[in-house]
Amino acid sequence: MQPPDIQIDLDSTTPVNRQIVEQLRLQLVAGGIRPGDALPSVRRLAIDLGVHFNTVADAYRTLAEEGWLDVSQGRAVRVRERAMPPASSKTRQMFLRRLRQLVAEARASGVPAASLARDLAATAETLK
Amino acid sequence: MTHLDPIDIAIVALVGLLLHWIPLWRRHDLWFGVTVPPDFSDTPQAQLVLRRYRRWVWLLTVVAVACVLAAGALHTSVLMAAAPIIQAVGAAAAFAVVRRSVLPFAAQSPAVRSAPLEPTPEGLPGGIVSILVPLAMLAATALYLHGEWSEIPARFPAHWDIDGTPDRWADRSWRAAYGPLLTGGLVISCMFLVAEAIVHRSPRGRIAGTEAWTARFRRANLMLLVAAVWAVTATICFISLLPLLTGGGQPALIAGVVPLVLTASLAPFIVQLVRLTRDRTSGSDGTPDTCWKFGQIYINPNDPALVVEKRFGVGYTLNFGNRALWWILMGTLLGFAFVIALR
Repeated sequence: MQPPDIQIDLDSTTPVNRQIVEQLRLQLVAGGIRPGDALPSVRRLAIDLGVHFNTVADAYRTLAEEGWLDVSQGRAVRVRERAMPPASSKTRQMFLRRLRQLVAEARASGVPAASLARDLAATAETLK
Repeated sequence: MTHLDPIDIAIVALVGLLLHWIPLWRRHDLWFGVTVPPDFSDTPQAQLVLRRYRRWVWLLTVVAVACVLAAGALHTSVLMAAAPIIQAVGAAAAFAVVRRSVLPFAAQSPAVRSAPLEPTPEGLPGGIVSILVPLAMLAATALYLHGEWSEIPARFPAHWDIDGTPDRWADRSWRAAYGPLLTGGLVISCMFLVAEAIVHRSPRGRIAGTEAWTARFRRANLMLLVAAVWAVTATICFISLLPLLTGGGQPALIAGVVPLVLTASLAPFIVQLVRLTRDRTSGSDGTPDTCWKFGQIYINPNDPALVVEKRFGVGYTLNFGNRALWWILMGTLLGFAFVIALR
């Protein structure tokens, strides 16, 4: 299978390291990248994206802390087998708050509620 | 007019032709080193800029031809050496000057960057063999010279004029015999260093949709570089063996033909590279226009790449904003200084 690409927007208000984390996490949850797969080294990805090494290193460190990546010194960056932790009620509350904000933003922009519900269900199914 | 003038004039004309075409060997969304909207090159403004540049190129070529003729009439080598310099430096200056008229039409450099999550980049074409073969050629030549040491003439030509007349001689010594091999070893090491930099220290297509083109472009550059290393190595080995082949006399016609044939053998690789630039999917290179000085010198301390694609000509150039590069350049200069001191 062809490995996926990663895209960052330098004009976005979201910091580049967070964009990298979010996109990689999406690929990891969706199965685009599987446990055991190797990722580009910090240097390689930084050169390809044209960003500072520290930006990529920071993103990899965040994902390693979440248990997704093995970033041991001197070895290739690899995806780890990671069991989904049970979400605490606090975590669920936090995501519900963020979801409400996102839905409100979408509704304010004119996206119909029924369409939102359909998209949300489809997205949850894809990222199971 | 000496008998050499036609050859020299032909070389000057060939360089003029190359400079005439060079601005067209580019990524599709670049015009004179500036990021432009797609298909800008078909507009009258773009064509006007191209015509202005080409007028300069041919004016410089006429001046260079005059230098060659004057060098022949006055028997001075200074004017002969000045001809290609006038052409190259003049064309670079013309490129920088006309580039300024393109800047008002510049498109914003794409803010969205893309990168493959493929971990390992492609290696050198042919893998380790591409490195071992030239090294083996140099080693075999050195061993042969060592074995045939007594057969090397006590005095032999070490440098020739363009018409094949020796203009510098050397006595049989290890410096004179192995000097070309040492210099050659250093030159091909530098070429492999550039190849390694392309593989490991250059971007693999920063703009979404250009990855496939970039991969082909990188491959074509690496193939040309490896072929050039082999050709240079073969030429150096041949030059090193000349004292044995010619017995210290004037080299036969073959001495001039062999390097020419080896150079000509690179033509298919160059053609392949140039043909790639016709592809309209090549987009832009993802480097900011503001970091290109005169459209030719890349200085971007925020870019971790050591080498990036050229915007004037086909191939790769250095990122002078990268601090590691300066250490590498210093090391290379020291290497050359060491070899020159040895010779």
